[in-house]
Amino acid sequence: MPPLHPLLSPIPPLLLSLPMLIFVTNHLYSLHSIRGRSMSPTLSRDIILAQRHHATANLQRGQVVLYRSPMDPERVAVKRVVALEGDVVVTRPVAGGGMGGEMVRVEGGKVWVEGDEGFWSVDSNVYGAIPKALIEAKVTYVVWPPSRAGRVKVDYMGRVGALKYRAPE
Amino acid sequence: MTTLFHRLTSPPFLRAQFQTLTRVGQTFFFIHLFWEHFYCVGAATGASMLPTINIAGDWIVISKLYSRGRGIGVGDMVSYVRPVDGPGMHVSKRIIGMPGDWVVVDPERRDEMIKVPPGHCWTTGDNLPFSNDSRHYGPVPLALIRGKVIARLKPMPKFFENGLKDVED
Repeated sequence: MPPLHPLLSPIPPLLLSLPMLIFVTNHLYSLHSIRGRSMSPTLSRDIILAQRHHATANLQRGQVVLYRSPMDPERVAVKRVVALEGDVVVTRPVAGGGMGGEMVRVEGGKVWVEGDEGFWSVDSNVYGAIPKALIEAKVTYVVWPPSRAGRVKVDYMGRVGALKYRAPE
Repeated sequence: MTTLFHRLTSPPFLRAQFQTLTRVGQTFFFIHLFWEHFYCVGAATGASMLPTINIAGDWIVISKLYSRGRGIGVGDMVSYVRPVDGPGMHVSKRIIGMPGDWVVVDPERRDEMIKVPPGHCWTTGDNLPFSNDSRHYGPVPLALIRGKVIARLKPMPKFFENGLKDVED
């Protein structure tokens, strides 16, 4: 094979390492930009680092996760896990939907997810608990903008009263 | 006199080693990409898809080009993650209803009908009495679909056709 032009020479190695890059972004870590206000004030138009390995291992209440929307398979949503399987949650009122206040038991293999900003959030209060298998990644860090950069905390963000029964670990 | 140690640490030898390792890595990630996003082969077990797939010993080909329900229609056989027991449990079933379709929940028991919600599908096994499917756990999110079961590899290789045939009058 004749040698390539010096300017073109980095292209073949780049193409050959593309599958590895896809492996990293599919299975290890990936960056995402957040749109929508359902997770404000925790996240708003930020760029976040998502941990894709062990996405559902040792899942805790209060963990922010990325998951495929059960209503639209091509949409990825970011919400906070409020209840795990076996827990009983009190639902929140939905804009243009139910009044809330209902007690719901989370079935096996599912988790209850909610946005931090209740009014703008399309979450488990609309479509119920989601299968754990839909969860793609844990949201671990905000990387941009620098003023908001840092670890994303695992906490309840004001939905402490949501949990009526806490299933034993 | 060159010792074995000198030969093993000589720059040309190390460069050759590094190049071999790179090639092995590139091949591994290329195969992984093909397996994850194009086609994969797996052993299928269980009585739920009789007579299409045998109880044990059948190897099936899954096309990942149909993952997340892209291009899937009623009558296709798909492989998905069971929504009720977390990630890791893969099953093969046939699509009975797509979003917006009306399906009979359990034709053998009662005439109750439900509308398949957006982003979901209704699945059942071919062997109704021995299948655990949408009749038990409800509609399945399309995002859980790993791919379409397109062929049997072993024994007797055969492409599967859409099981839904028009009735001739």
